[in-house]
Amino acid sequence: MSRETDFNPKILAFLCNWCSYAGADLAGISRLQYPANVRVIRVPCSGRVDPFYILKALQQGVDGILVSGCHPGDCHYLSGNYVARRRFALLKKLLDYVGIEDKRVQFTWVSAAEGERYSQVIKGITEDIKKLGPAKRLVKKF
Amino acid sequence: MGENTPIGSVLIVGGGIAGIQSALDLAESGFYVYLVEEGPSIGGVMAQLDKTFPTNDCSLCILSPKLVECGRHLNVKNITYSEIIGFEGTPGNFKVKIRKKPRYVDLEKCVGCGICAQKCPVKVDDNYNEKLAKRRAIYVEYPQAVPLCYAIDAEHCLKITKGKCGVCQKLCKSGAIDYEAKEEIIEIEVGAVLLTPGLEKFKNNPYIGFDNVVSSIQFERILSASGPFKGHVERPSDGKSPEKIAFLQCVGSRDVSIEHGYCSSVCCMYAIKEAIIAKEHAHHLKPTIFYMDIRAFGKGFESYYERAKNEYGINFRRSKVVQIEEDIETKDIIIRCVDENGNQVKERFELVIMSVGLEPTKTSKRIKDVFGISLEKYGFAQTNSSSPLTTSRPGVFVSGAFSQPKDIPETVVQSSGAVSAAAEILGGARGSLTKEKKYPDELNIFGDPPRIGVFICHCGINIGSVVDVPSVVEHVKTLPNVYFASESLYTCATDTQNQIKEAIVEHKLNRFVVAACSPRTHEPLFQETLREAGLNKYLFEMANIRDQCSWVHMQDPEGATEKAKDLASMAISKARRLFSLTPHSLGVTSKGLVIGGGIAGLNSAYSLAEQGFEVALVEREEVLGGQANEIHFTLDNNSPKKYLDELIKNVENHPKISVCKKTQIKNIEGFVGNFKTTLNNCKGEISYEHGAVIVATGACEYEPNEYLYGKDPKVITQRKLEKKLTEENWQFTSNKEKSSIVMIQCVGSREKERPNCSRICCSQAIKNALRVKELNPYTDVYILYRDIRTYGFREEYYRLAREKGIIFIQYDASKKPLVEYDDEYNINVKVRDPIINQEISLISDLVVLSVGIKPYENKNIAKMLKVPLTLDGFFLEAHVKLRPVEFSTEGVFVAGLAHSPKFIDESISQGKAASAKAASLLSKDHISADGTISTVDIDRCTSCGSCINLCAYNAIEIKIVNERTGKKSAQINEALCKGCGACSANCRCNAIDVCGTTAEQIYEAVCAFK
Amino acid sequence: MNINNSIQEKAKELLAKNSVGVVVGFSKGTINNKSTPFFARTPVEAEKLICDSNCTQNLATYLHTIERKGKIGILARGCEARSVLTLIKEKQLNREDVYIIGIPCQGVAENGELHSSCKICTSKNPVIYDDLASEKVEDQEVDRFEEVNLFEGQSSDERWSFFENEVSKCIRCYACRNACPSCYCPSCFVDQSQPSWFGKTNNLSDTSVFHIVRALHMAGRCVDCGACSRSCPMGVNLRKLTLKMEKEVLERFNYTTGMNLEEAAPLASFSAEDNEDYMREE
Repeated sequence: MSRETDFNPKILAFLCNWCSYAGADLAGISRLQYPANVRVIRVPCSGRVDPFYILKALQQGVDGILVSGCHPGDCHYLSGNYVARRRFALLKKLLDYVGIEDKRVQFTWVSAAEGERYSQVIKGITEDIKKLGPAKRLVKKF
Repeated sequence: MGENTPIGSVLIVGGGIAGIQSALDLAESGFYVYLVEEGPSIGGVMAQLDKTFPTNDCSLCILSPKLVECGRHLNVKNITYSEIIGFEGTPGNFKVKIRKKPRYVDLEKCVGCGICAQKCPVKVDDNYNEKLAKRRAIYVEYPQAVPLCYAIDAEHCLKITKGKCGVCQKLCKSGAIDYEAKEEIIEIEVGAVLLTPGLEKFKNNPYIGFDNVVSSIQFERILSASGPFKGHVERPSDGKSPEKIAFLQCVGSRDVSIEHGYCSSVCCMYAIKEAIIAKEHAHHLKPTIFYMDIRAFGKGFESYYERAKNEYGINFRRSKVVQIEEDIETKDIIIRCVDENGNQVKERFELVIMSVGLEPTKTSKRIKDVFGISLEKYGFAQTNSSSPLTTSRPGVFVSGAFSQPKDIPETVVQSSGAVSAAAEILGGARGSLTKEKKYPDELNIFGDPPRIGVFICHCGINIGSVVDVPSVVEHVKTLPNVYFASESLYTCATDTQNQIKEAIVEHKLNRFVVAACSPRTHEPLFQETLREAGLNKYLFEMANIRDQCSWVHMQDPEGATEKAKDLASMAISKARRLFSLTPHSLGVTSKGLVIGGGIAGLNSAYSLAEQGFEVALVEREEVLGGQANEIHFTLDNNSPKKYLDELIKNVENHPKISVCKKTQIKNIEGFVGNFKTTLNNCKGEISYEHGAVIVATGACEYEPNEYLYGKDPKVITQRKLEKKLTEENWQFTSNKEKSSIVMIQCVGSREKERPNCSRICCSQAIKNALRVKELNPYTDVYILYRDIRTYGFREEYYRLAREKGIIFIQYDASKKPLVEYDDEYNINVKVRDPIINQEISLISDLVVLSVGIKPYENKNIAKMLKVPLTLDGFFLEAHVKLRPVEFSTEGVFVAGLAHSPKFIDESISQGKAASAKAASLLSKDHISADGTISTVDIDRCTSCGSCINLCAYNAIEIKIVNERTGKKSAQINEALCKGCGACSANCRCNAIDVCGTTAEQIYEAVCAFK
Repeated sequence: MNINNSIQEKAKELLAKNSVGVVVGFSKGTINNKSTPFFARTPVEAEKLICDSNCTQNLATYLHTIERKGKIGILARGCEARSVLTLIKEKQLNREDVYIIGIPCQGVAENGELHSSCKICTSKNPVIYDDLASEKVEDQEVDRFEEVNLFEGQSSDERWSFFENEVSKCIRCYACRNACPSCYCPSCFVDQSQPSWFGKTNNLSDTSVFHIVRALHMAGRCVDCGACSRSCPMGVNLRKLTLKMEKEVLERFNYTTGMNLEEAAPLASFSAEDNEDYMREE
């Protein structure tokens, strides 16, 4: 067996309560199967997600991180996802710049009706992280 | 109860968006609601839609929170799978008989786990998916259905029809299934009735037999990510992704031959929407829309239409479809049509969508019989333009598509409006039947070390068959601060709820965690249990190990168990940092302010006053009535004057209304429930305190400068013509035998500077044209138009106009008519006639311009109220679909022309809707915000103000927090904050935190994932 | 007139008339070729004021801590004026509370060479001022992001090893933070507890996070005065990150820090039209 398949990545997802978390629930209601690597933290809005959460998770040795909110225009809080989008653009670009692998930290939008899409996103990110291998950069060693 | 006291409850018939909106508004303003729905769940047609125009919002995403709220509101009794069979009494005091059909599944016992449907052997056409998929004989209509309780389709169930099977009963661990269930008759008493049974989609489509012809509602399901094709645009015949698709408009609308002479009002827009969404799903698609007129008459619709043409490249073809046929080999569809130049055209498409119209609900006849109301000729509820919400029976009101086809925002407006209408007769009974739950005093746990209790749920076999529940229990028992951990078959069942309460007492628990299904559906239930046990409801945390674990990792029990352990650990870690939250509560000044004394403002003020609230009505002019003063007759030949005079008299004489004419708004301070406004008039300044504001500032006519207007007295506006037509012996020309009038549409509308349609001008032109013909049948009347937008029943007058010989000539925006003088100084209107494809010249005795509606200068009021404007200057509501009269700034509402161009009946509905929303606020002696809002650590705040503009609710202000030092800090208005956290995550100093998801709580959860 | 004379004249007059209570500037230091920040409170003290290429600090930093008695006069070169403007925008200062003596600037020196931030400076003249100490100087046309672009061209492994190497030099003395006029939080995130998000020692991971968050906090707020990098005793290449932020903010949100008061800062505003190119591809 190759190293790639041995590796069972730990992925953390921050999902907004109103769209993406509901989309994840819908995937369940529809029994769409996807890998069991992701742990979800429910937040009111993607706008709630502070870059700290992501950096802390990377330090903890989490192999992949996903943040998902409502599609543009759909935000339950009207504009929280727009605020988040700016912040994440800079964080993502900076992390790439200092050499954190491109797919280690990902952002997307999933609506409450997109159970299928959610399962695809999770399958996709799990594959991505498996290809990348375990996180090493920024991981805190004691 | 005294003889004359009305009953403080309301019956709502029909659980679509109309009924849901009314139910929530009524329940929130102190009335008990019985919401009766024929089907097994509420939601109606809106639940079937994929997206909504013109914002492309996900329909279910915006509907679902309302469903949930309706489902668990203490003062809404949902009576599904039921119909009304008896009705008697008088307004304020009705008796209703309801027949509850047997569901065969006990609503109280069913936990909605769905095991039954997975194993049910019977497959039936799924109506929710418009027969494009199958469901089982035991089913819920759709995954988000409320109530989330299964029902057995008796017609198809093997056990009920043949006495065989019975597998669902065997599998159901809650024992919810009863094949012997019988129908039940219940009787209730109510003070008023709202009829919201909705619509039927036109079904008698002659081409639906072709494989690759689908109805627009089927296509809606095809586009839906949760639909039968998971959002992929596929041909039903072979599953291939088509390239060329066509939409045929007006299927079952504008067609007298099938007794559908009206326009369905929504099809043009939904077709454009479906075309756009389809193209977003599959970029290679080439949609063509075959239409007669594009009726993009609503707020922001015209820009949406323009975008569809210019940005999405959707092909719009004005033509009359003659025939469609199927290519037997390829299953392609061939459309034959006559284009606007009269040419026969034939084109092949891979998929054709029929834009089906709306019909009256099939229950309309029964509703008529039971409630004794009148229907109009097509079977819709009879109303009239000055009382759009009342039926012929006093005390019985109507809203939504039952009275005329209409889209969602107008339905929502009417539903809130109907709430006002009902509350006007029930005002005195407000709060008499609503329930309020009493809880034991809350324990003060401040400073106590966390003592956490945990239940891990099996959910029958839903979780337990995949996740090793006992090992999760063993795992959590090892975690610090966990003093109680156990498993349960159904944690949501009543007996487990009792166990939670007992455990809290026995083990002195001060936090509780449940690992089970989704907090989105079940958190409120468990929070309720905590409250009953004397714990603050925010001391509860949930881990989702079913919807997001066992159900999606069925083949990986080991992985699922590991994940369940992690999720439980994370929830427990977060729970250690939970603390009690006390919702902030603040008082309400129970008075209203209405700005603007036109039709909308008058209705708002009158309705609020009739509901028992004091109101100040502010009008800048000397007279009330606004634009309605200029309207002399309506399309259906009513006199708005009579209605207006009556209304003004009622308002001016109302003891609860202070009318302030010639008065300006100088300043508005404060926030929801607590506004303070300074009014300014000749007597000086007045300060007025109030709890709500209704903005009904109106709009005015566009002043044209084109087509010789202002240069030649023979060029006038429609309004001027209307006035002249009411003057006796008015003649616009000496030549009585042979005279002609040319009307030009879209003057100052649908232009670059004013991109939107003014909605009313087509009907206005037809109204005046008909009157001209009536006064002098020899007059030639020409209407030069771009699209005739006589939506709804107005279409009948368009047809009548053509019958009367009024000549309609279509022109394009790129080739506008020319108004010029000829050699003899006659006015000559030149326009290209598309049918003969050449320019014609009309010598006109009168040119009438249909000028658009333009907003007043609203910036000042908008700024004072912190509410936004659209690009063209109208007020912009909180949500164009579901919150049409609210602003995101709470306590501020909008109605009438200030919102967008509209007809009198629509202004009346909106005026009343705004007053319903205001009344719901004013009827409370205090409002309490949710506890999960932002807080500021003033020692950390630099008062840089970066958060202010990020707050969608205007909840943040920079204030001096220490007079002595002059220290400033951001301060959250607890009444306005919704707890989204956009401010917090952006704060460099971490000065803002969000209760319910504090930095510490998230930190602990992140750290627990190892 | 020599620029120092001009500064001194103007400062003297302001102080003499009591138009300002203090003029924040520089004076000659005790070591050769070093200048030191200097607060002149009397016309006599004003005679010590200078501004030359040895004045390496960003004076706007002192606006946070200086005792505010009356209006503050401040010497402001191009970058400093942008810092002052940023502080006004961030409500740390009222425009009317400060009198800006603008100084068209030819750059500051480090080790006898024009400092790297000055080499690519495109705002030598102050954007906001009440008075100018000299004629404006000519601005240069230069590609400010050449270094960033080059770095972006490297592989992620190369970039990571560069970053790790830079960060490993850091001793967490926070001189960079103290030198920066935009770093004025009452308590910095690295000093906070409950929760204490990141460790306070010079553990490599914690230090990396410090530099990442510092750069994020500078987005749309850094004027690239270079004071942080000149103050760093370990020679960490701090501008590598802040320049990247400057580039992103310009390209994504069309925003340049400290140029005008009206435009909302990029992270204090949002737009429905922002680019989503960084998001997960389907």
